[in-house]
Amino acid sequence: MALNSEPKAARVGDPARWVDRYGDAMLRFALSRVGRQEVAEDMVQEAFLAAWRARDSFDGRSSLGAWLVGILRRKIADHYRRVGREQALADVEADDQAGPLFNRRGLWLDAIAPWQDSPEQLAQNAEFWGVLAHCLTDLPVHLSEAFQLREVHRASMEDVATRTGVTPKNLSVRLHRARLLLRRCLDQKWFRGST
Amino acid sequence: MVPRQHVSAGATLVALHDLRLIVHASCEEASRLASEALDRELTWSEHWALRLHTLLCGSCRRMMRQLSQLRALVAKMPDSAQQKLRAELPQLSTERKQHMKQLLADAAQADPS
Repeated sequence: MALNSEPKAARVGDPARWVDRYGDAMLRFALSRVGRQEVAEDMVQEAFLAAWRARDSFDGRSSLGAWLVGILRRKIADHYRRVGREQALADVEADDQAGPLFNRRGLWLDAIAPWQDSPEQLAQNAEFWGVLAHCLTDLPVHLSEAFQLREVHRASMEDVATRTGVTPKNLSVRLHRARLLLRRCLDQKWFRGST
Repeated sequence: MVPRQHVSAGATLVALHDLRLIVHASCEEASRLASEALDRELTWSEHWALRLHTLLCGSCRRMMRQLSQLRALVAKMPDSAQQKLRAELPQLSTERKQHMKQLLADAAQADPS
């Protein structure tokens, strides 16, 4: 009864504060699913406005952030329906400008050299972590997101697939590409650059 | 008389595909298997395809070792590096945020609760 008598606006709070509190996280959520910054920003804006119109439906059972992301998710699903799933995935993958790693016969374009430093030495080196963070940031957003959820946060494959909105098969493809690009970046920026 | 073996066409195709993978895995396929081995258990034929390929290919042997090292390393990432990562994530520009706040303020004014 106490909850029901509370004014609705008090539960969702001041919408201007949503933007500061959830805007960036929502942008990244949208970006990894639509690929293009302008489209992702429009999705977030539409989601905020839809959330304001639907504020009475927020019952406080989930967090405000989760409720907003749920609305954003529906906006993204609408976008997929409009442009077609194929096109939407192509937009996401267009962010990947790193080029091929293999030739037509599936052989490495660049032979792989051994890494000299041991993982124990590397883990102690602040400079190495700077390079790793740089390499992770350089990955296309959809690859970086999949890799970080899986390897930094150690989430299960099912979890990562659900949270990134792709099939397990598609997630495997993303992780494969992410690992190889990250390996190459570290190779170029650290292992060969530093010796 | 020896009874005839009944092997379905489907099973033969699968077996051929497995055999092709084991004998002819490219570096690209080997790297896919090395990556997937970090996420699930490989099938028997996938496992042997990767073993055989890396036995013969030095680049893929090093790639496979480096992918495991990468996993072990990233698991040890210190908080400072994680903070740096978060700071470099994409963000909404201040102008765009201001614009969204204005739209929301207009909507709130047009339709007060």
